[in-house]
Amino acid sequence: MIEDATSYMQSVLESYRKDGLHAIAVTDRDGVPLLKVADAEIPEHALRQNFLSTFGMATDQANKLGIGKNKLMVFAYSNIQIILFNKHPLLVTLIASVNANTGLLLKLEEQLHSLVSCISSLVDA
Amino acid sequence: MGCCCSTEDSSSLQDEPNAHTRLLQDPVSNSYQTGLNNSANEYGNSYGNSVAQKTDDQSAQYKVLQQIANKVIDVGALDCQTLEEHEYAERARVYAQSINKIHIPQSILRKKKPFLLMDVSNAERILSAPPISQADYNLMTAATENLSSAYHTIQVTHTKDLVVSLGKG
Amino acid sequence: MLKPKTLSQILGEANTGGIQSTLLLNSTGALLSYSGKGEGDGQVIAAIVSNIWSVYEESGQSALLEDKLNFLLLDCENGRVCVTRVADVLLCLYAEPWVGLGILKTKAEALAQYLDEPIHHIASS
Repeated sequence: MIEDATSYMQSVLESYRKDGLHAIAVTDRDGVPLLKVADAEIPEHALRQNFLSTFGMATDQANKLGIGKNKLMVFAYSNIQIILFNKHPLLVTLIASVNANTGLLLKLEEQLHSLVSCISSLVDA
Repeated sequence: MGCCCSTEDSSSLQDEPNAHTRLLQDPVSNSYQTGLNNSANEYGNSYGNSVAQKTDDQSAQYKVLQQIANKVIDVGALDCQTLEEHEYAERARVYAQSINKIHIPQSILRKKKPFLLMDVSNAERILSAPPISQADYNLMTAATENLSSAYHTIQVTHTKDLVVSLGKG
Repeated sequence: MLKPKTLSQILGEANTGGIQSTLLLNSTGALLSYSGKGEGDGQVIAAIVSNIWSVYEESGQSALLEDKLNFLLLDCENGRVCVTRVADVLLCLYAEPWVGLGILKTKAEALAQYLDEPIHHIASS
């Protein structure tokens, strides 16, 4: 079944590749991946656990801002942007070119919601 | 420092608390066990008819500590949370195996191709209707141009100088 | 030096259309200037977002080989936050949850552009 889920993610990545999307990762709060797809343009360290795990901590801190639960975060660097969806107990991370249409990529949350909900039971909350 | 957990660890009384001192250790395990120990030491023999009361007090204390712990923001932990390699590999292996077994409905995995007119019953009638009026088209164009120019003119209104030049002498 | 009252007024120009407060803070989260409602909330937000910012700037350097974090957008249930860098300090806008991320980012960019020269001037003198 992972091949189906992975190939679905791969097809989503292919659909948005022309829009600048380079990688999608679905991980637990510690950055351990459940599903991960990427193209060759991603820096090697971008999908490592010690980098992905920081997102879980950032989301937890953002939850304590006093403005409700954190839903998403966008980090825009010089060449890359990272979009993070908080789908507790999972995290969905998108890595894209900084020139990619952020608004378009934010819509990916709806597209991935069903699959992420389905596999979230695998992770302890 | 006088916080409710300062008696938990005797060494914390001796050492000066600093920016890295954790005020709350692990509220899930430490406080409950320490609470039990403290109450036994404080009260000596625990007599039967107050055990239930102590349990209520301890659970209330535990709840309060849990609430506080949830609100504590451990700024030091943000950049140093790394799993052991073997634990990472083990977890990844478990996830991979579990995803193999979990049933994901085909309705989710099937890539949906968008059909633009799929909910329109009489497509020919709609498509052969006259297009929008020229006035509407002009309205749309003007509104879009106005929005675009408004967007490009978002800027700070300069009223006073921000920098004070300190005169010499 | 910068005129504190003028600086606060300039920050306050962004506080329309759902934007609750605008803050200028240093990289350690200390508030330099503030304009808006409910100063207590602003200080908490400033401290936390500056911490998230500094960690991700560092992570970006090591994991993504990215030298500069330019923007951070946070979307929570009850509010939205945008953070950007101006010279060596951080500019933070906090808004109601219905404020568009795009307008939030645009206002932050406009303020950052205006404040860049004066703050650089102060930093270098």
